[in-house]
Amino acid sequence: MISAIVFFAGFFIGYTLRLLDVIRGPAFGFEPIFPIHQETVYAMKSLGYEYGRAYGVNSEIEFLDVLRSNIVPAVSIVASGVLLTIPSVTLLFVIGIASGSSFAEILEFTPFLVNIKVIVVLGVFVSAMMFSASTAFHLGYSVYFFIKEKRLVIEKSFYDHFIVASCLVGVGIVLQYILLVM
Amino acid sequence: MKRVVLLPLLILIAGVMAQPILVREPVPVEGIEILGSARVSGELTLFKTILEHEYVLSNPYSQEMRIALRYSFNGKPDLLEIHLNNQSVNPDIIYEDEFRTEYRVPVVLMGNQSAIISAKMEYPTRIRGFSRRLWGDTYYFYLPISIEADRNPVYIYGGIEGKIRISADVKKVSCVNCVYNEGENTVKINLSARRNPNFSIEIQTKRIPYKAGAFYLLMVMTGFIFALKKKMEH
Repeated sequence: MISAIVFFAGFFIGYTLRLLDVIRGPAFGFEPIFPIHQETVYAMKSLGYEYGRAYGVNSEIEFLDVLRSNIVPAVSIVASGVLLTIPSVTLLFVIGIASGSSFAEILEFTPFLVNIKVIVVLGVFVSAMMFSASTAFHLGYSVYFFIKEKRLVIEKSFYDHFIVASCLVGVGIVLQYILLVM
Repeated sequence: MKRVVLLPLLILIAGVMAQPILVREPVPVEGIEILGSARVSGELTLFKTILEHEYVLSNPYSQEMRIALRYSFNGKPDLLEIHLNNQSVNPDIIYEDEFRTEYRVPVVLMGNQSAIISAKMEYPTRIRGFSRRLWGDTYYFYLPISIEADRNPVYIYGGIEGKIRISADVKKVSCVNCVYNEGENTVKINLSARRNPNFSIEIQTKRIPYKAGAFYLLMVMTGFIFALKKKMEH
């Protein structure tokens, strides 16, 4: 619930800024933690649209790029949970801003079919990141408890969320590659 | 003690004030200068630029001069026909990637002689910036032709005249070294007696982002209804 609130707050900010043209080019610099924008630009270019050209970036994407840019944010969010979750929350918030600003642009400039594809892919990616953040919260709580009580307690839900997050990351990688890159 | 400090300070201030004001002398320009006049005509749309360009270049020196015209495009041009003294010329491709293509046409100007280089071009219109704006785009036009020589820098002294029609619904047109006629939707260029005469046009278009706006309203309404519902519950 907390991770959903953090993500959607970032998403709303990013979407508002992009919709009102306050920021342009949302995902530049965020490719390692938010791959969907670049993949959509790539997908649009392969469809013969002028959209990709506007970026002036020669963005060839391979499976390894998709793999890397999905695993990096998930691992970063989960592992930075040991720092009492503050970096995890920040990362999730930044991903929220990047995805909000990217989604406004994608929705406006891409055709309906690409919109649907992006919504599906983004849904899985966001769920994966939220479960990763949730895992990080459990990890952060365990670290806090260990500092306080000198006893390591890991709840069962930590493992559940970790497994769900891992599966969602895997599904997200496959979906992104099939729907946007291939 | 005070006098020991004050005296050098006064000398320093007087020295600084006595310095002559620095006058920037004009830097002599090295290189060769050829006489040239250009005529342009064309049509500018948001997707494609159609341009006809004619250069009349004259060599004012008695020696032979080897120069080259460089044509640089954003993307690959759909059409590029070049004629040198009414004879068709195949330009050399010197750079090509997905986003930029550059061609080179070598020209030999005999001493005190002229050459006419005409070109017909069609190429994608350039969007300014790396990303598109939701409320409108900025398109940018400049002459895609430059001149170069093997060794020395080369300059053209002359003018450009012509007219470019804008076939698009535009919000604002900004001109550098040209005049925009709003009634005719054309840009007139009339430059004379200048070194490296050039001009550029910037077009701003207006758009309303319906899809992104509708989704935004949907988000705001959902939040509003959710807040209202929660308030009713309490």
